[in-house]
Amino acid sequence: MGEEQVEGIIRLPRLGEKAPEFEAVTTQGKLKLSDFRGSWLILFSHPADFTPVCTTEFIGFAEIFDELQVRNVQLMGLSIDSVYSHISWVRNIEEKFGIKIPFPVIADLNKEVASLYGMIMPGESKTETSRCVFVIDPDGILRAMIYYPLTTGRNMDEILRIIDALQTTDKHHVATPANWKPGEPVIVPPPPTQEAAEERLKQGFDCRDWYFCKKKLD
Amino acid sequence: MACISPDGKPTELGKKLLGAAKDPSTPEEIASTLILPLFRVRSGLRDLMEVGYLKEEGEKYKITDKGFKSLE
Repeated sequence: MGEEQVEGIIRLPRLGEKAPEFEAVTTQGKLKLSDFRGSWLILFSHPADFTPVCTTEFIGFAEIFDELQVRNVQLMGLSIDSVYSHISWVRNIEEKFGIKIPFPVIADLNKEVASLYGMIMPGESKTETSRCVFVIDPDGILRAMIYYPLTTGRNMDEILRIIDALQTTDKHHVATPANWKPGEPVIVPPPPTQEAAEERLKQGFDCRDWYFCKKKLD
Repeated sequence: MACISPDGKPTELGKKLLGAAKDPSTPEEIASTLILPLFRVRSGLRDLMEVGYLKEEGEKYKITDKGFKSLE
């Protein structure tokens, strides 16, 4: 029995932990999660091919593809459909909408990856994956998860914003406030000691109080 | 397999990867030479290794005699 399973219960991945390895058939051949090491990866699921909301999402992901590439981010989709269905659908999107889908899509017919990542929400559907997004960093660590219901298409600006926020955090060792966008002030992590708190107020940050300081990045 | 056709011959991508591995190269070097995403190179090299067209030499990949013949 693997670490992920204890007495038949699958242990779902959590933030800050290694994303579970898998090998899967995709529209770009058989891929392993570890093939993406060194790049960020957005692994996302959609309920089904040839459905309208999913089509708008695939177009949305294709439209931010170049912006993600600049940020060293790869994309990989997933649904419980066959690879032939995926191929047919992405060809249809190109034919009907003029948008080429440049990223691989996992054909998870046996639900192996979907189960490993908890992409199926039985309360919504036992046969389809919900709209899940897993952001995995270049070391294979799961850094963010977002779940949307079947009826609500995802927001591509938010996906780009999460990537920007995580990469800014890693580069500058800061946090980002609500609704933060690149270029806006960031949060300086709270000081861990009373002495550091007093020092903090003399460091020229924009402080409302010792625990709430912002600064502009260069 | 993205790099092997059903008849066992390398696909266009497979041929590119084999061509790039005539000189022993790392996946990173091949990705840079061919301007391909690293994940595609890693997966393609694995396909080509499975059918014996490539072999691993340390961290580098090198085309085999069988791989050379597949390009003829």
